[in-house]
Amino acid sequence: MHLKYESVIREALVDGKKDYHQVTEDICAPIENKPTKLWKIGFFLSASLLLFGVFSVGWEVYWGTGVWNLNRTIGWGWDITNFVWWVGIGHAGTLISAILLLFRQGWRTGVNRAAEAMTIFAVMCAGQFPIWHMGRVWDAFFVLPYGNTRGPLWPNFVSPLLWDVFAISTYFTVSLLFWYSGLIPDFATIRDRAKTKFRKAAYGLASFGWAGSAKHWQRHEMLSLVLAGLSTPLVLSVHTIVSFDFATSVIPGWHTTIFPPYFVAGAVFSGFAMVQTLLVITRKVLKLEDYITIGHIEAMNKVIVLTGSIVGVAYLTELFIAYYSGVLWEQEAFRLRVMGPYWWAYWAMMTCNVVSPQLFWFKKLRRNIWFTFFMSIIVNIGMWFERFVIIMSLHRDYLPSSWSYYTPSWTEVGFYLGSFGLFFTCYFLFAKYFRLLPLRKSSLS
Amino acid sequence: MSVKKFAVAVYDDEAVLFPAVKKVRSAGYKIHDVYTPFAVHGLDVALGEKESDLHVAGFIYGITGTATALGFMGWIFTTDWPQNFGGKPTFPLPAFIPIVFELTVLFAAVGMVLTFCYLNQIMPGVKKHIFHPRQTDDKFVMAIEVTDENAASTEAFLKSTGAEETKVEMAEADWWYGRFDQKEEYEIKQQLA
Amino acid sequence: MKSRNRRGAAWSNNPWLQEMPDPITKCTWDNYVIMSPNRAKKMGAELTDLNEVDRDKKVFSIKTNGKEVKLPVLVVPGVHDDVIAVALGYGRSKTVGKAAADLGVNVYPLMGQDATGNLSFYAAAVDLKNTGETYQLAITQTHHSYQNDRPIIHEYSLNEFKKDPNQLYNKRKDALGHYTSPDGVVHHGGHGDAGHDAHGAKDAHAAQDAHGEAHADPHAAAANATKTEEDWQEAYRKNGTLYPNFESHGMKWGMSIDLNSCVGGGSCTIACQAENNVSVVGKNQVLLVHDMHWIRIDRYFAGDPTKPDSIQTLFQPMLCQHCDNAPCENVCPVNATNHSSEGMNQMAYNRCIGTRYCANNCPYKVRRFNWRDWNEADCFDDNVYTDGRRDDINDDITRMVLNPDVTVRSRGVMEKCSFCVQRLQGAKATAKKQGRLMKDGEAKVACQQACPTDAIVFGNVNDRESAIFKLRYEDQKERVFHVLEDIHTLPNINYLSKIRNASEVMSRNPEEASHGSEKAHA
Repeated sequence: MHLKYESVIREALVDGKKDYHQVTEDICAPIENKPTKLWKIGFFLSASLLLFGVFSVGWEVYWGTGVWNLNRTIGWGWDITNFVWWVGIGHAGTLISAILLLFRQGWRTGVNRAAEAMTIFAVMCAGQFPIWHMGRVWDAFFVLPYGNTRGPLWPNFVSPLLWDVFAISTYFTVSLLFWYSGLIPDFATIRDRAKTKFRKAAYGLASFGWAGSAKHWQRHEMLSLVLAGLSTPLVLSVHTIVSFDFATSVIPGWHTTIFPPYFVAGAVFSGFAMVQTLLVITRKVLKLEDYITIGHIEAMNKVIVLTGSIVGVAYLTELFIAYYSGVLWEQEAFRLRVMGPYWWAYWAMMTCNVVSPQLFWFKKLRRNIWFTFFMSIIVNIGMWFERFVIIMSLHRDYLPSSWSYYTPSWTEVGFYLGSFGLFFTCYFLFAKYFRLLPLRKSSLS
Repeated sequence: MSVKKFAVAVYDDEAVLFPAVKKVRSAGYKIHDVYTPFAVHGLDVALGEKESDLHVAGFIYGITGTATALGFMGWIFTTDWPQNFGGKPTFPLPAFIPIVFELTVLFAAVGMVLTFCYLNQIMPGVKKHIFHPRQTDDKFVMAIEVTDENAASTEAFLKSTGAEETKVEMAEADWWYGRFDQKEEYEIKQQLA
Repeated sequence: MKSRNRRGAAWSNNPWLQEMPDPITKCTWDNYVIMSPNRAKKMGAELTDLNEVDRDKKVFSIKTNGKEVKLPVLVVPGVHDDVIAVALGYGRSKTVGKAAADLGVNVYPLMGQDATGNLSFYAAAVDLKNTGETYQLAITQTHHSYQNDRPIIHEYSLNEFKKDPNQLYNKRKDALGHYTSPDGVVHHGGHGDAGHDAHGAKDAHAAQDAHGEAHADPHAAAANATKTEEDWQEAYRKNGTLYPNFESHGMKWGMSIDLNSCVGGGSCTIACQAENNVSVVGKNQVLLVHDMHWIRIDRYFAGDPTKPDSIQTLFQPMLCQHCDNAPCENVCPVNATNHSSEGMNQMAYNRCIGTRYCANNCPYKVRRFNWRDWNEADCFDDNVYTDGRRDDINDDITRMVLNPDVTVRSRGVMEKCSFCVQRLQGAKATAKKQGRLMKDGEAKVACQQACPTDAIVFGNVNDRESAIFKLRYEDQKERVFHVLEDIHTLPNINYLSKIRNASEVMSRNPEEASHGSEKAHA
């Protein structure tokens, strides 16, 4: 009678016998109750970090990009590293909600709303970096193809950085639409349960007047499906385009065709790790252990070990191709990457990304919450180093006369910390005021 | 605004809802709408709804995006101001692909969501009648438009289909601009009555 | 002990000169002791491979003639193991002026008198001690060898050159010449991938030969072959890429830099700085590698650092190469840098938003970013960078040194060598007003004008009578090369190979050297 597309039922992913109403009660509880002490502490910390980030960026905008320790040889450092890192993290959210929807993976329900929110916040954080890294950020609108009075002056459509502008803004918009269209019925639920006038009015606005009509649900399903179908190639394209920033250049270590798939695998890898980090915290803080189960966590760990291995193969391929190409510049770039002044970053990357995730082959470790949490942090550190290592190909390229070295200044670190502040502030607000888990039939089974 | 009278049945489970829908339709009643807390697959078929053409709209928007991107960039680079960037051709098609793809997706997604909102008549500030406060939580609600004469009989029939709760109430059939924290005039009147 | 480029410190209050890197040590804004690697190693101040990481230099105390000074050490290969050297003219009092005041250490007290009572510029017995303290020196180039096998410079000994003047020409032709098809016709585009595989291309040619050319007149074929000889550079330009070829009609500016003539004095750097309003940034910013010079002189050492006599030094002026396939132009998102029809890579400062992508993607690393507000030229008040800058360019009077023909760049924009476009436009306008064609040599760029050895030749390459054309394609064609030619950036600047009056070229790697000697035997 129902659920035309329902996948084969595995183990129940909601623990405890719950009926629909109980599910709603549980999920809405964090929204409707007073914030817990843990939430308050978390929110306060995040907001402080955010403020510090705002201060760091303000300092940089006022005094100039020179307060960062970038130099004439190394024009990008932590800024673009963090940009790529955050974008990568964002991708897992889309992949979880879109690709798993297309594949009808029931277990996504426990994580997908949080994952989608994570995407939005991560892309917001990511977008900050290319904006504030500009020397003249007040002219940032030059990248838009707007009609102007300066004659036929348009942006340069062959620049990978302009592709980024289009890719990131499209990605943000589509993710937002996907996420919000999924949230509309949830807002309607909160609206109809609301006790206070303000909540009723606010969630009434947010719910767009959704009533749950059968025809509307039919269109809603269609919309979700097509948006998921669009998001899937989109998410691949976004990280591909981000990788083009490097792949289309002439800098040895950047100029390589392996980057698009390698970046996408890396994005899934780091994104899933970030989802793990958030879920482990969220289920504890918001007491949602029955909904975000050990089964979810194990499934995600399997993805982590797979993508970690793909990334590992990519690293080795890079080294091999550099050797096999016979091109001096490539060989030197990779020799310096492994043994040059930034050897420590390379080996940190190798250890965190390739070696340590292999521990997830053991079922015991896969199902261990604390180990998972620890690994998710390690993987994210490793993926940060991956981007750093790639961007630092700049430090020694063609002409030895310009070789240089770079360590970040406090403003760069502050900016990075601030992006965490932004991310977690948004996340805490979201967990408190939005419904964290969607209500879907398949979550019960 | 057209306030009408509805017979409303509230069901507890979709396993009850499906036979009820069939019974109601075969008895010749015209169902105004069924409200569910989540998408119940197959309900649209049971209600005799046509499949949605939203994806066709999405395709058309997408193609529009493709054409816009290609046309716009092509015009700029070949006609409006051809320039030499690093010796690349004036119509570097491969270099256009990323932006063409992004705009295709953007147009399709934004267009579809707007169309979705338009078709469903939803947007911020829009209000619709909620027959039962738990229709967005766990209850399934069926509403049939009735007249004063057949209200009682319809309600009785609905009761016989296994409804947990039935009622007859005045309701706005359409959408209107309003606030969910305020009761509408017809609702207050009904409450007083 | 000798002061360099400041005429016995008479000009020590000129911030341009203070910031000009020393030709050999590439150090700015300070004086220091230079010593050989051997001695440095003995005294715990050796040069590491991670020079750019370790900016701290060891401070030594120097005692002689009963006086003591403390100075940081710079290790320079080629210095005699038993000699140390210090520049005079530092440690000036405040009355000299802002730029020179309290900069470095005054070492005049160390000087004794010779037999005739004159100041002695050397001291025979010096007590040298590593104090264990460190001091940061602002050095603009921290890596000193071009790593032997990096083909960015070509040098030959005089004997090698005499024996086979065409060595470099043939080497280039071997590497790049296979883009010419046997019929002598230069095809457009299309060879992009095959280009990297010389054998593939040769096979294709052989197949073509077997097909169509079998019955061709051998004389005609020979004539074609000669034509091909001349056209290989053009063929590489056109067929070494998938891109179309943009022709420059009329003007096409080109520059030639003779590595033989260049003495590394740096007057080009200063001339350019004066002409183009290039900012002085101060020691602290040089330490951050934020120096702004549009033309720099790369100095490389070759030879065994432990044998001072083996050291050969080489200067390579490096500036924007005005590539026809410029990697920087592709990547600018806002179209702030593009290519002129005269073969120049041009910057629109007003349009630049400062993503620095172009600088990253420049293989020559010649783009310079305005990291700070040097010139009160951005939209914020009171954020001019002054920390240790020691110049007065923002002073109303001093500001008059700025060239009115050249934009003063604001903070956050990229800049680089413009080929002195203001002079070129001026010369063109003059010729146009007088209703005639521009004469060769009428437009001179600042660095060319200032070069005492005329190492720089500049002009219109499309003009077959011009000095640059003759030099590039006739007089010196066997010495011509472009830096990083193999990545097909098509620079409009060429270099002339260095011919050393020495028996051996130290930068040559061992294999190549032995290969060369084999050839010599054969």
